[in-house]
Amino acid sequence: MQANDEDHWSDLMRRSQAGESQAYEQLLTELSDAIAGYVRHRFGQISFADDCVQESLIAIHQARHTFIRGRAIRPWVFAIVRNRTIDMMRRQRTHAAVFSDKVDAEALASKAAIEPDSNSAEAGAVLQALKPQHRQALVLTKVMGYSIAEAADQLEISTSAMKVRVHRATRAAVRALEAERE
Amino acid sequence: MKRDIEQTIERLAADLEPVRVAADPRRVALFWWLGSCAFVIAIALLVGPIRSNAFEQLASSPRFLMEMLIGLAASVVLSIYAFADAVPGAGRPRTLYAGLTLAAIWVAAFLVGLEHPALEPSMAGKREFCFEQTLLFTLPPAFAAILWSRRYYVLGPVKVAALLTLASAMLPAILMQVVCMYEPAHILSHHVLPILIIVPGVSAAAWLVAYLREH
Repeated sequence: MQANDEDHWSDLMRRSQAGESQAYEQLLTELSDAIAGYVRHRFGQISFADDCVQESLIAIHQARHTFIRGRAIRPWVFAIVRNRTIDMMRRQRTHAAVFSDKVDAEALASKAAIEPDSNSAEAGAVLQALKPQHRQALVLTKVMGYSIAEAADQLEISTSAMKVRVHRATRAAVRALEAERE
Repeated sequence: MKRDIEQTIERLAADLEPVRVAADPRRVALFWWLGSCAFVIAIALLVGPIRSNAFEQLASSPRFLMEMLIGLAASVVLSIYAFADAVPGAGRPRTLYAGLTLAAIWVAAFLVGLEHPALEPSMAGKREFCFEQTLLFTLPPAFAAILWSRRYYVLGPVKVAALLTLASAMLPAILMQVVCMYEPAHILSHHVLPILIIVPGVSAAAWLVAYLREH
């Protein structure tokens, strides 16, 4: 099965490099299942497994010119997947800490004048209470750690629209927090 | 399959354009290595002559010749690995270990030489600024290699930068064995030490660039 995949994927990649979008779509679809399986097998059940698959597909897209014909495709694909997944896990860890320190203590606690110790649970509830697009903006920029430009790219909106959305989301979060305190 | 993954696939497929496949990194490594050797030899000769009896010593002392050849082999193997490592999953650990082992043997030969030198230590051919020259001659090949490696898809930028700088820095250090004085203590302190300075320096710069890019 693996040897078949190897030849089949190599052929699809070769055609993709030539610009055949149908072959490319088929390759990415097949790879996404393999990547999801690999992430589950290698890293266990992680909450952001779908994000890892998406990030890996984007990285494969960016790196597609480096697949050299005649070489095995599996080591190439899974080196990218491993790198992206570890990178995302690191980012998640960092930004979980940043979220509790920065969002709770600065953005929410200082504006709502509440005790920093009680922030985490409240911030979670407040996030849930936000409009989906506001929640998305805060999660991308404050939890996932994307820059404004990267978050805008993810949501396919302009950077200025993203700035406005983050600003409004922060204000909505503060208002929701104040209301909850009252 | 989740809807957002499907959408990502559709978007990527819609954005697809033909790409020019990158050149085989091992071939690029050899090309870079030969070009770098030519550059280092040319610039070293521009600023000073070869030690007058160097070729005679190479012909008459097999150990001295081996020191040179092991150093050159280490440099070429490390550069092959480093360029291959710029392609996801292409760097073979065995190649890296071989390169590092050769580099260690090369340095060990000078440590042994402190007690039992390959040649009679002599001040003949001494260059005033061999330390600085080793540092400076390293930079153009190292930066060229790092820039070249960025045409691929580097997953470990610090590791690749460190190995390319090591491979680059070994070239002037090896050349100094024939264009500067031969004395193992001098070689270690003036030709090998610059490598230990420049490799961490360039690696730190590569780390900083990667960090700034990510944040």
